[in-house]
Amino acid sequence: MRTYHPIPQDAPISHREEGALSTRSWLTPRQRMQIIFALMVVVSMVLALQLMRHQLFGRPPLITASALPEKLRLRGAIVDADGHPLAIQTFRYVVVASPKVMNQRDMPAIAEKIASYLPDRSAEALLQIFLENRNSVYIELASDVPPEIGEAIMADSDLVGIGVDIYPTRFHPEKSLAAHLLGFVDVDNKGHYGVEEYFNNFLLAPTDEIEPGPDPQLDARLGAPSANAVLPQSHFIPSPARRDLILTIRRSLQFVAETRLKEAVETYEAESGVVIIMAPQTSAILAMAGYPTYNPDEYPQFPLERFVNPAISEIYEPGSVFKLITFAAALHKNAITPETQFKDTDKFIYGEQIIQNWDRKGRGNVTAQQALAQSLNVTTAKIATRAIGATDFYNTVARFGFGQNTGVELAFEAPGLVNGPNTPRWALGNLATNAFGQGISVTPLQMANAIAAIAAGGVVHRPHVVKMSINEDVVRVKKPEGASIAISPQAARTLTQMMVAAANHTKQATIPGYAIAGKTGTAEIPTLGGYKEDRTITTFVGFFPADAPQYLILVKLERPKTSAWASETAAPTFRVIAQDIITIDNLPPDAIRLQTAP
Amino acid sequence: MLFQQNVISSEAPAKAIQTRIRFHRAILVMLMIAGITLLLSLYVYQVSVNYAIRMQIEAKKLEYAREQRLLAAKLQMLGETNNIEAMVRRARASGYGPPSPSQIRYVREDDGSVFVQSDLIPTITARR
Repeated sequence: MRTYHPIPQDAPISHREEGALSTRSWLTPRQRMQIIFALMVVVSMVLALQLMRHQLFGRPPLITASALPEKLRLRGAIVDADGHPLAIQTFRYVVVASPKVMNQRDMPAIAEKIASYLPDRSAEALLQIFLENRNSVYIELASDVPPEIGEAIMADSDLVGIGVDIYPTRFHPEKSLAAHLLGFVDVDNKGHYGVEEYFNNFLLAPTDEIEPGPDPQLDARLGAPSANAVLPQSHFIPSPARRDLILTIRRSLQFVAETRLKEAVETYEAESGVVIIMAPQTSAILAMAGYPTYNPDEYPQFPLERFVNPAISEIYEPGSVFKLITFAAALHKNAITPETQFKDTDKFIYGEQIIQNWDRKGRGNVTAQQALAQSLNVTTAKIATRAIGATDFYNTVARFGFGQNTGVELAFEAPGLVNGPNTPRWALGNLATNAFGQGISVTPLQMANAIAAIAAGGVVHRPHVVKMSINEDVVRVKKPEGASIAISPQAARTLTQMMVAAANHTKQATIPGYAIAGKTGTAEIPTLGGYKEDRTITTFVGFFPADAPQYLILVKLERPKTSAWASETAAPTFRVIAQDIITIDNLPPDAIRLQTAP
Repeated sequence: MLFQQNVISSEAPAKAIQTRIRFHRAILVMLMIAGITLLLSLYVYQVSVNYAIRMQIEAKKLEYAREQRLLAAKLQMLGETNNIEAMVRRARASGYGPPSPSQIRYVREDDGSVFVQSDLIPTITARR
């Protein structure tokens, strides 16, 4: 224990000061200053070292993931429902030279060596380039070299002043397959049209510096995270970006749709066409084809209008296919039954409109069933005006999703055009013409989805193309989204039976052994001078098996020249596609499928 | 204790006290220099370790990126090979094609499922 010795009062001053030092502080002010100075020196040295560290040891001169600009960010893969790749990430290798950093004496050797990697460039030509551009720091020597050569050049330490720039690029193994649905990716790594544009921010992988912000809306569209999700067996997912989309599209069905559509357009000398194949119970899109199409890998070679997806972005007057909506409204309202009698006259005047059948002939007394099978405009207009009424008709039209976006996850969806009693451009006569699909504009997808709702017992689902998604370690599974109830299940069942009868009326669409519910539509194309009979849009939409719908197919052909009628153009196309699907999926005929087990 | 004795000892000469103080001061300075050297060496060591590790990480990242690029190239080749149009073309050139309805038989099993049989292929697939 330290003892304290008080300083005697009579001690000399100097001794008293020393004593005071020993008890209060054992350092003199000068010593304190020296220590403070020393500490300042230490702090300064530490700061100087920090500066030196950044100067000398700063970020190594290598491209790191965090230094990647947006255009170099990885992009996730898009695969079909079975894991077949539709759009994947590859890399483009660009060989560049910086003659300014080369020693002029070494140039011949470098030229010789780089020429050995680039067979189409001679050493003399390369040397000439180096000498002519000896003050340049960046000259492109080859724009797209094979990966193994690019990597070998990068690893070759003798090639001073030679570099390789690597750019992620999009590659479509299936070429033009599903091009309209996928869209394309430009040189700045930005998606345009289709899934690529809609999910552009999702597909781009985050980097250390670019963190994706929360996007609850997009997450909701991709479905809920699932711990038990089973991804399709595929080498292509998860991709290096770990931002992948698994679509509902099936490659085989997409191939059938595109092949058959192309054949139809050429056979019937149509200008263009659309085919949509859906699973009607969920509105999952199994195939979506537009023709003419394009190859997303070569997008700069195509005109801009080619990129527009005609299935969702182009509107048209649906014609007689829309009669199904009118009959649905009437059945839902219990205003008619299939046996309800109507007098089909050669002319029906409503508002300012004169309604006639396609052959301008009345059929006399017909049932509702016969009116649908024979696609009678007059009777359909009478059902809309007398049995349904404007309010119920347009409410049903809205419930089926017309006049609004369906919400499919594709860029540039058009809402269509529906004028109702509350819109200024509507006139009384519109109710009669709208009833058989004139004066109303829809997209092919809206039409297909509305018929899918009939197949699904009256429930309108949101059409979708995404089945699952991968975000880092989170797998989300998309569940069918019910948007609204359009009609009652009973009305849907009755209408399905009426559609089977209507399809049987169109022999070109039937397949022996399989009950198909469907309807033709031949719409005249409106022009400034009115409708032209020789310019039509032909449509057939149907689903099968009618009792337990698994597939819905919509075929639309624009301005076919060999025939203006859907029964002779769209219906046969529907049949060949349906037959292909039956073959691919081994769908047994109804009689065998429905046979009770012994 | 020694210091206190010096202080208490009023007879100790002032010079001796100053010598001792200088000695202490020298010790203190030496200790400070040793401490600073130790701190600096620790700091430099840590910096160099960090730097080396970071370089290793960057090298691994580059290696990983290179592997991913080469994998992407292989997948590109695999995708091209499995292109459905090319596969269909190859199959048709080899004499394969979709069976016609007359070449297919649907065979019902006791449990209600349906087998699809064809003359072309012994058993195609699937239970329905």
